Amino acid sequence: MIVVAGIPGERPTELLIEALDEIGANYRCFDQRRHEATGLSLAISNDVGGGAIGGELVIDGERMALSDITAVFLRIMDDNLLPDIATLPPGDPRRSRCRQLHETFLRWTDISPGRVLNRPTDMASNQSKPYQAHVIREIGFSIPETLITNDPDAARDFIETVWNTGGRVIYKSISGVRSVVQTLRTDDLKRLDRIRWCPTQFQRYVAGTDIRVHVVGHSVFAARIESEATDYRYAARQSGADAVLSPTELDTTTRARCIALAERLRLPLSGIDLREMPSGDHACFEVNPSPAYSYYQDRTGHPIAAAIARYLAGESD
Amino acid sequence: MIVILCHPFDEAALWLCHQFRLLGLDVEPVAVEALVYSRKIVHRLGDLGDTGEIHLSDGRVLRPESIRGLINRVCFLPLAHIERATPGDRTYASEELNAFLLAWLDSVAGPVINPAQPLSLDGGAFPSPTLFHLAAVAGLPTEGWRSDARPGDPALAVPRATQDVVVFDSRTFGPLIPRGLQAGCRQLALLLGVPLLQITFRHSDDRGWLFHAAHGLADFRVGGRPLAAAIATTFRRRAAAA
Repeated sequence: MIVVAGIPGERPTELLIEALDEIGANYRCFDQRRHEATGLSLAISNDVGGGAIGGELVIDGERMALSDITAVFLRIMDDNLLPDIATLPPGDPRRSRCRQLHETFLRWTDISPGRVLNRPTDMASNQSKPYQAHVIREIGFSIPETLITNDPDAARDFIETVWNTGGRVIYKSISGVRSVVQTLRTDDLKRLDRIRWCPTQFQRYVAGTDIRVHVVGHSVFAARIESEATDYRYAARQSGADAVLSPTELDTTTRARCIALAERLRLPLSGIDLREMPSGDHACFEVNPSPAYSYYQDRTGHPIAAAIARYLAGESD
Repeated sequence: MIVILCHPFDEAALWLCHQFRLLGLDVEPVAVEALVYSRKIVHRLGDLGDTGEIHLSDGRVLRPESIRGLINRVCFLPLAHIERATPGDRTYASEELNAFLLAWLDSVAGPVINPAQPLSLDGGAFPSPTLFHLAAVAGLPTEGWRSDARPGDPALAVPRATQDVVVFDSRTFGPLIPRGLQAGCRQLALLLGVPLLQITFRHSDDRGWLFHAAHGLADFRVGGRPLAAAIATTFRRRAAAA
C-alpha cells in the first residue's frame, strides 16, 4: 500500500496520482484538507531488539495497519495554513487535533521502514543554503563565491571587488524561506546599512545556463532553461519573457554527482539547481527536497511522475 | 583553541570549561548570545572552504578555520535584539539567523561535539518515536511509546527512581549499569549518529531499568572527570592528526 499525503489537487500530487493509476498501484490519499476524516495512532512496542512500529491510519473509515504501508509520498503544506484551521484561535481543539495528526504522521514517516519521498528530518537540510552548500562542495560541484555578513563595510568591499572584476552580485535568503534572487544594483548600496539587523547572503553571479535536475532514486531528468532573468522562476516579471525549457543530457560525471548528492542528503526525490558555466563545469546552488517537478514535466515531457510512481511501487531503485 | 559555545546559565558547560583548564587545554567559553548579537559577522564560502570572523563585544574574534574543537551547547536561538521588529520581520530574521548559525557550526575546522543538525542546533534532540524505536533496536529494554499517551496518565505519574549515563565516543560514563545496558547505550548513540548522548533510565518493579529518554545536551558532570578527560583527549588527538 502506498500513501500519498498532501493536497490531491495540487499539480505535482495530481500528476503522481495519475501515474499511480496508470501502473495500477494500490494507494490511498491522506488529503490534508479532509484531516477530520483521517485518524492515526502510532505505537512503539517495548520488545527488546525490535521496537516494532505499530498503529493504524484511518481514512474515511478505512483502517490500514501502518505495517501494511510500504511507501509514502509527502507533499505536505503547513497544517496551520489549512483553510478551516487558519481562522481558528490557537487553543481550539480542532486545531490541536489537526496539529497532533500531522505531527504524528511526520514522526512516523521518519522511522517507517518503507520508501518515503522524502523523510521530514532529511528534508530539513534545505533550511540553510550555506549548510547544504558544504555537502554540495564535498560532492565535487563548484559553489558560488559567497559572503554572509551583517557588516555594511564588508558587504561593500565584496561588492566592489566583484564589480571591479566585471562581475555581478546577487542577494538571496540564507534560509529555506522562498525569496526571489535579485541582482544588486548601485541604488541598493544606499540600503546596505539595513543588513546590520540580520546577516545577509551575497553571491558573485555565476554566468551560464540554468539546468534543473530531478533525481528519483537512480533515475535522472535534466532540463535546460533559457532565460534572461536573474531568477528564471520569475522570468516574466524580471525580464518580460517566460523561461524556455528543454530536455537535456548530463555528462557522466555531473550525472553521477547528482545521484551522489541526493544520496548523501538522503533525498531519493530531489530537485537540483545547477548552472552550466562557459567552461563546461557545473556550479550547484541548492537541492530542493520537495520539488514542484510538475513545472518541468509539463514543459519538457520528462516522465518524472511516472518515475516517482515506479519508485514508490518498488519497481525501480 | 577549543571553544565551548554555551548559554550563560549552562552550568554543565562551565564545569567542563573548568575541567579542560585543569587538563591544560586552551579553551574559550563563548556565549551563544554574544555570537548571535555580534555587530560584525563576516563569513565567506567558496570552492576551497569557509573562512570568516565574528567579532565579539569583548574584543575576541572567532574564526571557524582556527577553532580546533567546539563543544556545541546551543539550546535555542537568542532573539532579544530583534524582539521589537514586526512579527513578519522577526520570523524572517530568526529563520535567517538559524540558517546562518547552522552553517557556521558546520564550518568549524575541528571536531564539533555534537554537530548541529538542521532540526536541532544542539545536534542532539530527537523525536520520542525515533528514540524509543532505536532504543529497542539497540537492545535496550524500554517503556514503549504511544501517540495517544497523555502526560496525566496514571502510569506516567508514578514517581520512579531514575539513572543517567553518558555515552561519548563509544564509551559509557557515569554510574555503573549492567553490561547489557552499557552495550545498548553505545549502540543507541551509534544509531542516532551522535558522539555524545545522555541516556535516562527509569526503574520498573517488574522489569528493572527501562530506557526513558535520551538527548545530546549532556550534563558532563554525570560522567565526571573521566568524561572531561576523554573529550579533551579526543580534541588533542584530532589536533595532532591535523
